[in-house]
Amino acid sequence: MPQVENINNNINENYISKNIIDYSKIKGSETTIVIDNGSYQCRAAWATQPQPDLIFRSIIAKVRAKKANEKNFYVGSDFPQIDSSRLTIRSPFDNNICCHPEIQELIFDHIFSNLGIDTPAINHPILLTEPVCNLSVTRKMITELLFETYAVPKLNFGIDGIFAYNHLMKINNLNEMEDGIIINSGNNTTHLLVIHNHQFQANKTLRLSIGGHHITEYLRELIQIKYPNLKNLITTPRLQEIKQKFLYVGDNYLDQLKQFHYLSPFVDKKQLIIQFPIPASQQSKENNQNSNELNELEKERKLQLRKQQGQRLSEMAQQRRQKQLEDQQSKLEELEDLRLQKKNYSAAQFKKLLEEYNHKNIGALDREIEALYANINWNKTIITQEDNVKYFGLLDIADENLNEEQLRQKRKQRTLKQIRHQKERAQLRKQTVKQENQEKILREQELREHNPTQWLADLQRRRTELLTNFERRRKTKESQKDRRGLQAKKRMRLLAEHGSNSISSKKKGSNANDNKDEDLFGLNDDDWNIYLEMAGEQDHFSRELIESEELELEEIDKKLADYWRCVATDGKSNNFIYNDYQILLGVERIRCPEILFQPNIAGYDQMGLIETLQTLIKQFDMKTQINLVNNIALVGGNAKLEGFEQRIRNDFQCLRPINTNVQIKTLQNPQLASWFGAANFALNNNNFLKTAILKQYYNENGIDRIKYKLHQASNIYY
Amino acid sequence: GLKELNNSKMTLNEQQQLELQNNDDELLSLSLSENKHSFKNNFKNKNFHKKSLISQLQGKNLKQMITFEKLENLPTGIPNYKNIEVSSSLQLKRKYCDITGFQANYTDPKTNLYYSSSEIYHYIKSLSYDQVQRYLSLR
Repeated sequence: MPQVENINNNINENYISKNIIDYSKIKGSETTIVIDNGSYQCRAAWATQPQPDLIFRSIIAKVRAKKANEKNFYVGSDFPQIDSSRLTIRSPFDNNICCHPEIQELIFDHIFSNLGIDTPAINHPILLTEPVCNLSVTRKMITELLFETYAVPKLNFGIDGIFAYNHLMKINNLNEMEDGIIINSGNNTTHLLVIHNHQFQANKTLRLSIGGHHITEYLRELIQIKYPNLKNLITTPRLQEIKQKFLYVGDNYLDQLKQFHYLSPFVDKKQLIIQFPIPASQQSKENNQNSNELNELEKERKLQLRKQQGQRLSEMAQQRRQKQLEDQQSKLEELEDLRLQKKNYSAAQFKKLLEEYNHKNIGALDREIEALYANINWNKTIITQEDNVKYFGLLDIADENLNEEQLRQKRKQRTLKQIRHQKERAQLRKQTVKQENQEKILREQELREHNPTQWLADLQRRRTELLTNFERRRKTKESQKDRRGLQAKKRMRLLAEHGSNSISSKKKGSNANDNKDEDLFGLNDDDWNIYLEMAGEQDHFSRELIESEELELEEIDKKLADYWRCVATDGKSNNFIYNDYQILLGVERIRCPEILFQPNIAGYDQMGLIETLQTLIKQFDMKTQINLVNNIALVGGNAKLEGFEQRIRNDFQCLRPINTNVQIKTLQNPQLASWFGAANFALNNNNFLKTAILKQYYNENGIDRIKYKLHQASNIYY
Repeated sequence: GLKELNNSKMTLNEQQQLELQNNDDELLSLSLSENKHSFKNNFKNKNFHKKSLISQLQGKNLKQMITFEKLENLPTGIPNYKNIEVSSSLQLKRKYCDITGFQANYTDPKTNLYYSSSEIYHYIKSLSYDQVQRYLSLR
């Protein structure tokens, strides 16, 4: 089984050092502020510091504040967990160029306020890094921003890749600006820079539009296609965490790929299961799982309650009938008394008495007496029946012996008996079915305990059976659609034959006038058999069969899921809650970083990194080639990927002539290198201040007529 | 140092209560403004308002800026943002299976997906049109 790795929510990449110098110590001096403005991260501090004090993501989180107290925006990745509908994240960068000065301004604010500056203007020179071949428009916008809003005295720009390179050289005890090649792999782009004759050869730079961001996005798309129901879980910070922890560059791509194949012996070591944190709503559902047993108890209780209520109702009905019976009997006695008393009264007086009982004459009274008699008898019979005495006695007596009324009674009793029989039979059936199910479950459990392999094998066999059934049905469905398939041809043949038959039968008819348009199909009963032939060997796919098979498959899957961790469930069964939030990370581990070397994988129509290197090198003569290749530097945030350096060395070595060396230098933390190089430049290089743009100069000439002076790490200005 | 930091954070909160709701224009006016939102920006110029270039180009994205830059009018030979970009590959394009990522030796004629073995072919046949398009868009 592959190993399960947990994702901790959000790597907080914000870093504000505790060693920020008290501003009062620096106030008044000319210490430069070195700002390494990267599209992913911004690193800033005083140039005299040993390392950057402020490291934060170059993003701004704007919050639509509900309350008045809440901040409107946060700089960096350190914002509270707010509903994403209220949060918009913006970056001043577009690709690798800083395009949005208003957002960049907020970042500058953040830097300056955290450095503790409290003067009305920034009184320190600033060294800012920029990408190779930065657009002059954006550079002008930033100079305008810094000079106008912040009143910076001096400003200078430099290429971050070259600063990083110089830092590397310094660490390796070499001179700055040694001949060599710089591979600067950043968030959005990968640049190849050449230093030759101790000078930056700007016209030989090459840019590959693939960086860390593209790798992350490719990873996101791959995961989302395979796990569409985990869309909400796959957020950018988590993807970045996965990328930083688990992705690596495969050394020999084709061979490494094979190791991820399910038949390879290494697959369990190479594949990983990533466990995402389970959202809180689901966790409460899992707690409700344990109350399933309670639910069953409750159900039983409810059943019993209902039974009791039923009994109570029937008792009440009985009592009511009894009472009714008594009432009727008493009334009957009254009326009979009245009847008997007719003799005692005269006709008129009797009539008056009758009117009290709402009767017109004696006949109505008699009728009422009779009705009461019948009612009482009926009630009596019902009561006796409810006493569970099955009064079917009349059924035993033969028809001839009964009078008419008794015959009617007998019929009623017969139907009653039949109804009762049917009920009993239904109950029996239910009970037997229930018993069978229970026995089945018991048997299965026994089998599972005593002979687990057999049980497993049975389950799997049944599963394959069900799956083949599904397959078969799907195939027949498809073959019906297929116009060129066997079934369709058969159908066409039948139709054609039938058509020709009807024509020939028409010809047989002697008259030429009639029977031309008449269709003789159907007069013969055998004609309808044609439909049976057309239908062919189609199984009767009843809906219920399909549904029952699907249910069965689900249940089997549930039972098997304990054994097959990687079975993709629908997300409906709450029992396997951890599995729902897991993804299997296999080939993606090497497939995503591979787009640097083979951009065609992700659809980018560009050369890979090795090929670009090759084209770059070929522009020089043999001697310089050897020099350059001996000194390749790998810098930039994206170079932190494992196996990057080895891959370049192995692949590039193959392209070099024999006995030439490919030497690649790397750093422990390639992201900070450019800041170190820039700080070094600001402190120790005289050209920094000489080539800086002064505020006075800007005020006099305006933004468009600034002439930039070149230093070792500057862009070509135009 | 620390005390000042804390103080500045306090003023941050207080004065931000006066701040307007967010909008890009508002952001710009935040910085362009004169005395209302003077917070944090003891070091910011309060009286400045006209940033000609920034106000001209505010809101544009990279593509628009590149066209504004008019790189075609530059003399050739100078490296600029566009011409240092690397061209398309001359090497053999290896095909990888769209579904598993292994080497693909076969292509499905109906959907044009690359696949590496027959089991995956069966899976491809069961995909819906949407899913096929998603796989193709990865390329």
